[in-house]
Amino acid sequence: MRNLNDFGTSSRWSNFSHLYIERSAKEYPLTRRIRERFAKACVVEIDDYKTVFARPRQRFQAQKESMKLILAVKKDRFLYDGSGNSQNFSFEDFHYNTLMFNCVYNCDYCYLQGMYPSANIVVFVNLEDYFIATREGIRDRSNPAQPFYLCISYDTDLLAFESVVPYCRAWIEFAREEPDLLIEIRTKSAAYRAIRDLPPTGRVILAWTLSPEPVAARYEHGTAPLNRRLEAVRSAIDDGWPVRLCFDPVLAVPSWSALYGDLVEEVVQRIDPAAVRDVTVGAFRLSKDHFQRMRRQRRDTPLLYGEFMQEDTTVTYPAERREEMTAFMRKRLGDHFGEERIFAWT
Amino acid sequence: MPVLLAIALHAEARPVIERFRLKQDASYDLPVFRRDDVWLTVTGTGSMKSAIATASLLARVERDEDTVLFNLGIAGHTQQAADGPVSVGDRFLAHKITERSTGRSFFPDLLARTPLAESVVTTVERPLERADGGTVEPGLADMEAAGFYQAAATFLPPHRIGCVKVVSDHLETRRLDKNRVGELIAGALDEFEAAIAAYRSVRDGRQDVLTGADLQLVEDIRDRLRLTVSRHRMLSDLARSYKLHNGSDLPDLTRFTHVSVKTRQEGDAQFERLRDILSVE
Repeated sequence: MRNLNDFGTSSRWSNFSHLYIERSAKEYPLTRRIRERFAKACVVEIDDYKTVFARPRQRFQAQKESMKLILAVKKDRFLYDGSGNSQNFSFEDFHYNTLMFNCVYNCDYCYLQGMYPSANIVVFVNLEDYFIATREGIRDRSNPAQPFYLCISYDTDLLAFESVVPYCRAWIEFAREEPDLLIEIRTKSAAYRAIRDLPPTGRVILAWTLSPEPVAARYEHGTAPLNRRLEAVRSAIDDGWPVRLCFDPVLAVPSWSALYGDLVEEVVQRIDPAAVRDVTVGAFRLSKDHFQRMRRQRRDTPLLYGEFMQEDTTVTYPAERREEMTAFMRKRLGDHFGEERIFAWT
Repeated sequence: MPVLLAIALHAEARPVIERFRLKQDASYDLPVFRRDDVWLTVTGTGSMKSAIATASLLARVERDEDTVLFNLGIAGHTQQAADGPVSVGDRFLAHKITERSTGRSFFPDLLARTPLAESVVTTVERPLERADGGTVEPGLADMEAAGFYQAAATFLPPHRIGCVKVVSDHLETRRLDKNRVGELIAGALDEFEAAIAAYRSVRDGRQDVLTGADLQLVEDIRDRLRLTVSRHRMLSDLARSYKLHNGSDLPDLTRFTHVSVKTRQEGDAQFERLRDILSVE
């Protein structure tokens, strides 16, 4: 008999070894495309994505090392109101949608760990239903003097997954047809090349989250290094896209002021501030529920331990620290971008 | 790191008992065999019996976060004999378990890569006949998996539950000889062991920065200071914060395991001292 402890080597499935496909999603073009892309994956037919995604007692971080892909048809709620933890850029009609659940990246501070029961990626394949709902949203918006502002990469990183699910491309083409729509696509990827063949449009803002390289390398697992993000930013600006730079979250890591100060200097050396549409700044913050759930499963990262305070339903740094960080970033960025283009969460 | 096995028939269990050199433990109401951290229960036939025995075993064994639980047994296959790639003796790991009586399906979480091929398993109430083979999803048909899985999933994460089936027939309802059942299971044991090992190699997630000794120290302090559940959690998080931010071991806190407090105020004062020591600001 072999000793059971002798099988020492870890043997895990790679990401997307299995495709779970809702019966109703089988015939969608995107489903067929993904099946071709992952031709060797084991396909499991399911009735409803929740029977896989919402199983009890799943382990988010264990699944992160072997993510599965779940293809589903979204039945309702194609638009959500923007969260109070996000900037609305003074748009009264601020919405987001969930084309995907979860993200290919694995940032230590990511609230998805506290929001979803699973790290598996759900892709909703019925894109046309989202377009219909968005057209209705545009038509019924409360302030016709402003565009309908929609974040499509909100609880995910859509551009990072563009080679598998070409939704950024589809939404850019959709935005061209909708004069009252303004879309934000936010990413930590360098995958701009996946949409670079498209002519730019003023109805789509390409937004990059930027972190000091030591922070990105240590805490933003799988994301593009700062250098490559900045290359992508510059390419997008050169091609004529409206670009937003997001210094959000700003993290209270040791020597944070030196790290983020250097970041701002590196950015303005490589990117012409005048060519940037706007800039966002926000200290690390989470909903209380997400924070508590994250702490239960992440007992290995300093980002979730230390001095925090609760304000209503939001957990963030103590007010003094937060104000210091925000003021520091506003000042450093303001020197280059001007106060009027800086949007800060305070 | 217990390995728990739920097997319906003695004929199926015998080769496993021999392979792992298990001994019967007569202190249980149900047939239980064990050695070291391997436990096997013979559940009896049928979904309900499998669920009861599985739950009973899980309730009795001291589990840790690395516990794995497997169901192993024979099953029929919907494919016609010699009409496809599946043959008697082939073994599969279930990636979908459907309970025919309710139509509900369950999905073990397949994080571990094993040498086993995968299949759907449909659990039926009585042996499925060839003529009814088309009434279930193509794949395996057994009589326990759905009950086993539902009981197991009440206690364990889905990536620690495995269901391995050995093809015994192509829905010909002839009775199988016990020795033949044993041979089929014995032929699958190398792969079954490898599957167990693969499951055990998967960690639940990121490791707690607090070691077992740290956690014990925190518990000792909790007991001495009569901390509430909330304060205990705060102390644990303060200790984590200290280690994570300083990159060092905890400071010497043993004096807090010797103090005695008589009032809540005394406990609060000691807690504040701890908070000062562990503060990273």
